[in-house]
Amino acid sequence: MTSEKNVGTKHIQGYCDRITVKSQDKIQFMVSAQGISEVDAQLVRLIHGDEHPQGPGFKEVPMAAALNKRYAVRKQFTQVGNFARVADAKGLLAPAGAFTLFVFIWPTTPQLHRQGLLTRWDATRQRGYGLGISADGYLEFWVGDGQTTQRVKSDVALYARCWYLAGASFDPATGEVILFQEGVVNSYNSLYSPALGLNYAGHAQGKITIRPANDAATNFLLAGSNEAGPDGQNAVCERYNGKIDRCGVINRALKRAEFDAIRASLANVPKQGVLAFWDTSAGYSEKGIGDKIVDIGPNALHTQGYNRPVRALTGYNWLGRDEVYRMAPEQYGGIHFHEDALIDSRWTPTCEWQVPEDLKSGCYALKLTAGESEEYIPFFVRAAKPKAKIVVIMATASYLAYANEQLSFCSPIVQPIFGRTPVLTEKDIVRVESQELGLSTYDAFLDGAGVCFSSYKRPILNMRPKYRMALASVWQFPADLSIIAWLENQGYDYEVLTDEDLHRDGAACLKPYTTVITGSHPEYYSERMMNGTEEYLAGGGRLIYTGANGYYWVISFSDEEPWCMEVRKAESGSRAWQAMPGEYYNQTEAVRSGMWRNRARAPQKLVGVGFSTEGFDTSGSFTKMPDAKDPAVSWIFDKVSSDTFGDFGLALGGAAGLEMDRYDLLLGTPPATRLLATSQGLTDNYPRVSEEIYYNFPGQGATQDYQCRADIVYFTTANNGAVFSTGSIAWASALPCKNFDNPVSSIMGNVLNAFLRAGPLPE
Amino acid sequence: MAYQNKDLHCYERFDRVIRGQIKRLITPELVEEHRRATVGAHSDALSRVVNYIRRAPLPGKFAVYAIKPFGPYRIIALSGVRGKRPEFVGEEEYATLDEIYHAIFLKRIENIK
Ligand SMILES: [Fe+2]
Repeated sequence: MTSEKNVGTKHIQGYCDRITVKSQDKIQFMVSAQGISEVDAQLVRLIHGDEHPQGPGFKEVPMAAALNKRYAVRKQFTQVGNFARVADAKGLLAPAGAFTLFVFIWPTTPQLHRQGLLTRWDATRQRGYGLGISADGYLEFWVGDGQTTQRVKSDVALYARCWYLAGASFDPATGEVILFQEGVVNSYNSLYSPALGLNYAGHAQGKITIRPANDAATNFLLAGSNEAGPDGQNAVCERYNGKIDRCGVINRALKRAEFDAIRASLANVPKQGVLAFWDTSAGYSEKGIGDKIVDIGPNALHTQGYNRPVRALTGYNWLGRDEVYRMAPEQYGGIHFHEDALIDSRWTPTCEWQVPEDLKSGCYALKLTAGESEEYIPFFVRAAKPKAKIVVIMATASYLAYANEQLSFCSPIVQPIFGRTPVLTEKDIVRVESQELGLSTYDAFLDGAGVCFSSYKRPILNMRPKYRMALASVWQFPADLSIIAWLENQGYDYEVLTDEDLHRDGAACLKPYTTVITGSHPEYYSERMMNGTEEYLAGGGRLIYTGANGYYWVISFSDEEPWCMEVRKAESGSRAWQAMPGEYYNQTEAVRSGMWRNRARAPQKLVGVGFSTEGFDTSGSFTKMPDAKDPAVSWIFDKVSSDTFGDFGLALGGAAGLEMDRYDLLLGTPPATRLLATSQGLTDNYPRVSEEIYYNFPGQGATQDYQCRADIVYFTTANNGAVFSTGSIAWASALPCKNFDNPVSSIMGNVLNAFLRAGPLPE
Repeated sequence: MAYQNKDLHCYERFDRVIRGQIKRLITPELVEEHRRATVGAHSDALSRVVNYIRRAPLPGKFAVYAIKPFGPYRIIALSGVRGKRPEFVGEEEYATLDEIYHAIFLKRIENIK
């Protein structure tokens, strides 16, 4: 039951503890390898990441570094899954006499395998006790002394996605066990209507004639059982999928009537004899809620969710009226545990490095090799003292969103969306097979709930140079390297920042730069990132938005754990999943998630264009629009004489493709915006995005709907600021074509050169 | 509580009908059209055929395995089960994406017939 598996061939995997560093900062690298005992490490500067034969190919520059050595490596253990651990060395939760466990639950996979709810159970040695769910879906209480295990099992199976109060009381003096199981179902909180009169109740009684062997080293757990890991460490198995609400331990055996009273009101939880009473609704504030689960009992046995169980969720007592925890925190005690969640691999560091003083800002990686096996651990070096006029914001929040996505393996709609059969590699298969590297915000957990957190404290095997997404193109980080390669090739002096820097420092980190360039798909933006960009533009900053479907999802980070991004995909938008009713607010910041468009900040307001269509069969090209001929802005097309351009590119053969953004005055495109060029040649694999469809009707593909398109726009902002937006993800991958000498490259150069000059720009 | 999902009854009925319609669209000309352009703009008839096969459920669904990043390629069938490896289908290697896309298309329409 551990997550340890021996899959795949030889491989090296790694991650670093920080994604953005500057000179003098320390960075640690964690490496795990299978079938390999030593790796050679080499620091490299990354220049280009797309190996497409029509481009310049992969480009890296080896760098001298004290880090460049041979390191011994081994397979490192990863504890996957959510649970909460209460260290109990004093044995406060190991009463010698009678005791009671109670917990409100909303199980999602009751018939999957044995699952622990509240346990002080060593599954390896079969010692202790537990309240949980049997492999066939019944509530169960058990006691083990290391010789035998005795169980009392409910006679009524649990329904998935319905709320229950579950409990067990046990008196070792008499051996009597009372198992309590009653539905707590109202018209909103559960899958089924209370009108059905379903039988949720199970009231088994039984005898257990042994006493639990309670070892000091055994942890009390919410949502799992203890086991010995592969190296003997404390690991957690029998992990539970579903929500847990308020729960506790009492030092006597409650009678059925007393359980009934708790079910009727939490005020009836006994005042005397409470060993622990975790109030899962405690801790909400205007800042959201953290991982601490508060014990309001006299022992204050607070605990901490592991791998960030999901909070800000409706509880057993949700009445369906208040849709945010800030209105009714007492109804938001739900914590969703997932057996397959992963926030932090917690590997032992393999090496550490201090960034030298003179290292130029840019995209770097620790390259690890052993024979045929290779791994890159990318990170970004920002300037301690900015000197360049240009900065590229590496879209790390969006890289996280897609981290280790399993779409082609798990989503049947991927082939229709792609308009092609996915192209996979051995590395994809190994990472999906291992299930040890965590999921992306495009995936669902095993129980079907959407993944709302993604972190970089784990290997992210698709955030790598050379990586090709299943749609037969590079995507996100390796695609953004085409912008880096273009800047390098054209001889521009540039520096880089990350989304993490923009979120932490806001406009202050952009201000030193004359021009900011985005990545190809900066889709995930926090409020601080939006504000930072807006403030920069208001102050006369200049922005080249080199992509599409940007500024789209409302995301959050906790200040303490900037490596973990949060998004709740609400009831609109092109979304891989949808949050449940009442659960549209983030927990790491008390803001409504979902689309910025539905928070009154459509991307058009900031960058002139916003998401209109996506497709992945072939890319189209651009054609000039009337504004392109206006002498005030026709300089943008210097050296681009023909009316159409961009019928080439490393991303599916054109500069207008993958995802596209459109001009729309009603969504806040600035009135004076120049619409310079628009896409052409798109197929019906480019349909209108769902958030724009109020009524569906036939004919909403690009061959029948003129608003399925990419627009290239330009406008000025206050204090000589300006924005140029390319409207297309494929744009960046067209830059390196024909040895960087092509119309897309010319347009980028014309705009960037103008943006680098001081003084007013033409309107 | 071993209840059946009767949505599957509707799926099976619908699939039977649509397979019949799709089968009738498959002509040598349509196959040739796909060979000439495996992705991108297609006739309405070929669009209907590829829309149908692309929407197939995951277990056993074909995908492309890149032995090296730009070929050669082999056909695999997805397991549809989380964490379970896809299986190779046949031994053949294909030099280009167009070749393997068309080979997969031929296998899929063979399965419809
Ligand atoms: Fe996206």
